[in-house]
Order: sequence, then C-alpha cells, then structure tokens
Amino acid sequence: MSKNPSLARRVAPAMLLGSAAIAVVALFDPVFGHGSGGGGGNLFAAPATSDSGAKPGINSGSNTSTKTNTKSKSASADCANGTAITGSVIDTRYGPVQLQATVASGAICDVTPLVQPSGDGRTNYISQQVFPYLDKQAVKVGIKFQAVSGATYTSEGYRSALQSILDQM
Amino acid sequence: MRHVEECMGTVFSFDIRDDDSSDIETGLRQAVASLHEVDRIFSTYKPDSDISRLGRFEISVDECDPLVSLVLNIAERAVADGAGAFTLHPGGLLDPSAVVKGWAIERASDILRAAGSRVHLVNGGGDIQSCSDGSFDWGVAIADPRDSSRVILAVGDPKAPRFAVATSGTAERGEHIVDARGHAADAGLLSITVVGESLTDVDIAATTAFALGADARDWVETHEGLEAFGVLADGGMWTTTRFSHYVIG
Repeated sequence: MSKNPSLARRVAPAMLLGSAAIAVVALFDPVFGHGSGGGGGNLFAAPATSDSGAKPGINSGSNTSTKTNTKSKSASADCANGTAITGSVIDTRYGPVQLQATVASGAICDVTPLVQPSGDGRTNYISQQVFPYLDKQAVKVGIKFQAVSGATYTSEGYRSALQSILDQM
Repeated sequence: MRHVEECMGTVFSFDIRDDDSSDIETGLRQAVASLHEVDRIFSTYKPDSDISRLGRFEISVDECDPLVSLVLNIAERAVADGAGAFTLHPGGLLDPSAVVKGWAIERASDILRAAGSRVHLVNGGGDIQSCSDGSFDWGVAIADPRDSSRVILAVGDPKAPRFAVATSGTAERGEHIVDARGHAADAGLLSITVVGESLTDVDIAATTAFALGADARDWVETHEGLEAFGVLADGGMWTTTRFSHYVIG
C-alpha cells in the first residue's frame, strides 16, 4: 500500500476519496458470487442474484442524470440532505474510475459514477453490471459500517485505507 | 466524539456515539494513554521495554509491570488452546505481540465503559472491539485481502452488548504469522476473520486459525461463541456454521 510514502502523503486527500470509491465498488462486485461454492452456503451468492433480474444498463461515458430515479424511497429522503464527496480519478484494474459518493447519517447512501471503465470483456462486464447494480443497491442496502477489519495495517497504510475516510464521516 | 491515535506502528480509531461529556472525554484520554502504556511495556521494538528486558533475562516477571504477568497468563492459555500452532516465541524470542494488541484494544474499550460510555467502537489497525446498549447497531466491513481498499461484506451483532472482529492475514505487514508446528501456514489462505464478544479471545483465535491453515475451520468450530470467515487465494471463501448469523446488509 505504501510503496512511495512521500507520494502517498502528498496525494493523501485524493487517495482517501479514491479508496472509498473503490471500496464501494467492491461491495457489489459480482465476483463475490464465485465464493459461494466454497462451503459457506449461499451467503455470497445472495446479493449478486437478488439483482440479476434488474440491469438498468447505462451507456459507458454518459453521466449520471439517467439513474437518479432508481433510488429507494427511505434512503433517498436521508440522502437528499447528505454530503457529496467527489473522488479523484483512480486507476483500477478495470480502468479509470471516478465516483461521487453521498454520505448521510454516517453511511454512504448513494454512489454515482462520474468516470467508469468502458471497453471489452471484464471491463465491460464491470461497467454494465456493477455500476447499475451499485447505483441501485447502494441506496437500498446501504450496508452501514463504521469500521473495517483486515490484516493489520501500518501507520502508512492507514492513510490509504478505507478506515481513514470512515474516521472523517 | 472521534479520535485517531498513532501507536504501536499502526493507527487506532475511536468512534464514540455517547453524548459528549467531560467524563467521556476523560475516559478517551485514559484509553489513549493506556495504549501508549501498553506500547511502552510490551514493544519488542523498544530495547528498554519490560518485555524486551524480560526476553533478554535481565529482569524477572516479578520485576516487570504487573500487566506483563497478566498478558503472559493470557498468552499461555492461547498456547495451550492453540493445537500447537500458537507460540509465544514466534521469532525464537519472547514476543507476545499476537496477544497484546487485541487485549490492549479491549482494555481501551473497558476504560471507556468505566468512564460511562455505552456506545463506542475502537479499531486498532483492523481489529475491532465495539460496545452498544442497543441504541446503535455497529457494522464492521471486512477488507478484501487481495485489495484492502475494497470490502467483501459487513458483520455486526445488534443483540450483543459487545462485539469484536479480528482479521489475520498476510495482506499488509507481510507474512508475519508463523505456524509453531513448524510448517508454513497454508499458502492457500489469504485471511481469516473471527467474530465474537471479546477481542482478546477473537484476536488470538484469528491468529491461531490463520497459523493452522487447512485446519482453521474445524478448530474454530470447536470454540463456542466464535465464528470465522476465510478467504482463499483461489477466490474461494468458507465460513463456520453460524457465521452467516452475523452478516449484515
């Protein structure tokens, strides 16, 4: 995480937003479904399949205006008074991503892709499936968490860890 | 009330949801001080810490801070329960670090409770002790060991007054967990998360289970009150029987 500490320090604010954006993507990454065969029951398949019937499908490269009406009611009431945080453009393994997250009541209640991957194969899969899913489900599920558990991070690693943005919410 | 404190080479995050009061503020100060106290006594990076001096046989346990014998007792129980995988001498030298951090975080939470806090969460470098009177439900996300800025799922226990989560893995600090049985920890295992009530127990269990590798799941199943979630290098995941009970969202 901290290959270049001095760089990490300089771009820390951008990275904080960046890691939040990536983390939200992760919540709804369909790859989780792959784990369901591992013996833990259908725990990981559930979120992916629950959405499989609904794929709003957004044009890659377009912006966000088409998707605001997919939000669920209860959360959007809260979310309307939320604070928008715009992440920096970050390079993911799927291509460049920039997300805008809305934070209300201490949780991420809405996520809008400003820049998203386009292209073939996996990249396309992500852009077609994850973002629409994310936009719809992030509001409804709104998985509220206030902390992140993981293998011990170093002081330097903390700067780019999701926990560091939670600490500011 | 929020506080972030750098200590023990990592960062401790305090998230306190009680109404602000001078009692809670005092409790937070004491909790933070307790972390630095633990670091002073137990750091194996400080040559003059009690634990370093004890390791060099310069002083006896009786000459150490009383917390040392307390922690060594906990560590000895962990060794006895660890199916041979948990050791107090991971690098050949006395190093109870695998016990200290979880215990120190739970202790910081206890200090906050003693000061009157009823709803708080302390996260020490990814190991968490939370406490709630039922007025707030804590959620803890589990980081993807393949990319710690991503999360896999979130856990919580709204019914429990105290809830603890610890994850052991190789993700950030390199492969620092050794299997005292002599063989390398199962390379197929990226991380293990254990949930329960007390972070002291949960953290020890996560470390032990990770060191046990392929035997981890069966070992956790024999421990009442603990549930675990493993992430494998091939993308597979496993859980113990009742882990799904704690998955939220």
